[in-house]
Amino acid sequence: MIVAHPFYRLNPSRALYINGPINRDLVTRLTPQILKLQSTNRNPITVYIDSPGGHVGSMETILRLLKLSDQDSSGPCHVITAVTTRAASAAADLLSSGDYAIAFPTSSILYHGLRQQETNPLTVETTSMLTNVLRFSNDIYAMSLARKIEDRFSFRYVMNRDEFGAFRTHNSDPEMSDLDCFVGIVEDKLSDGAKKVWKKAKERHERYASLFSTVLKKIKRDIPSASEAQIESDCIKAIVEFGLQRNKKNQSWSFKRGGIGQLVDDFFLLNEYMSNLGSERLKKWCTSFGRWILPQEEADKIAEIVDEQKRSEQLVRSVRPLLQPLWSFFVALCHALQEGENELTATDAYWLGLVDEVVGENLLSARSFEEFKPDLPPEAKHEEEQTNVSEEKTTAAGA
Amino acid sequence: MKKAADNKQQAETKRQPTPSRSTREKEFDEAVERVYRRYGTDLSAFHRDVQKEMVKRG
Repeated sequence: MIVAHPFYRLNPSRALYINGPINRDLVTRLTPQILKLQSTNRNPITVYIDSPGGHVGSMETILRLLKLSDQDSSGPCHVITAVTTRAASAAADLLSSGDYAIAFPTSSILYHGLRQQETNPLTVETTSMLTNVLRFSNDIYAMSLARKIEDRFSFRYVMNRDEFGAFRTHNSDPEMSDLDCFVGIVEDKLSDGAKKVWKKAKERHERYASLFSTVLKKIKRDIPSASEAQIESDCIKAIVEFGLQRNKKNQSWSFKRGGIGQLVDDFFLLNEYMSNLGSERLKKWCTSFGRWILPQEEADKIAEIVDEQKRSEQLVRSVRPLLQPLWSFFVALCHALQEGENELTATDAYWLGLVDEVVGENLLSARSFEEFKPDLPPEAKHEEEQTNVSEEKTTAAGA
Repeated sequence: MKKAADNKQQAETKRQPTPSRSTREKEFDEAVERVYRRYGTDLSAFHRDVQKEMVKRG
């Protein structure tokens, strides 16, 4: 049986409409509507989106308003976002920020990095400063996107796990890693446009892995006692060697002819990878999805540990090595979405974890878990009825 | 009379607090647990059953 749950259902009678560019005027128009909806009651608010994007600051203001508490310190209203036709740039970010995000089947979604309009003529100095600002901002937005979509993405991985075996057989590669199976399965479902961003994420992830293993071998220093700058200097030396090694057969390669740019990129890439290694969010992935990832026997063994904290610690220890590659691929994907223009269909957005559901498509979503009430087998049904009867009697006696 | 009833209903609705993020996560975990107990790791079977129910509902 399917029982509709308001946290997953579009509700046009309690909704906001974001049409056209996101700017200060839109904030002015929406503010009274948001405040009125919030003061009427604390039920979910649907935000319908058809927008080419606009000013990131205005989008963030709208999000902050939507997440307001009230004078009774109630939690923020649950926000369901839905793209009807188009969500580009800041509008795409708003879409993914919903507690539950929905795409209409023919809608299109565009992700790209931050843009900066310059009115003054550019010089070498301002260009260099601008590059740093944009790189830094893109890193921040990539990690902010990661926080918004991580549950959706990890859910895609979990729900595809039982297809990994068939994928290995189909590709005659019994040794294929879980991550490669997942990457291959999703790739087959993407449009050509989305395949490009997927490819960028793969390349970025592969570069992380080879950079990390090379650099780790070179760093002999005792990391906990070394300063940040000392470790960075070791990393730079190791990246220089990595560049030389990789290009030793390429006579036209030099640091002057592009190599220095690659060195800088690799330095930031390595930082990005290392800063996400011990992430608390990865730990949460382990506790939420651990039992779906581990072999049944191991999961059962951990479930037998009585102490909750010890059980959780053991789960993280066992699952972390399995999820680490997926996590770093996911971080690479969030960064790849901030590079160039990434035009996506509604189904692409679903597979990349940017939305939870595509209207009318037969795709498993978080909604299915909460709305689907499995029919109980007859004996269990009888048992439940008996429990309900005795509970009613107890309540009546108490009254 | 109707307005008074509406106001009362609205006040009741207002008093319903939004579940906190942790409560929502707990509810979702419970829903996942229900599915896990019934289907184990076989989410394809779960997906098939969901589809059947969707068709019935539609």
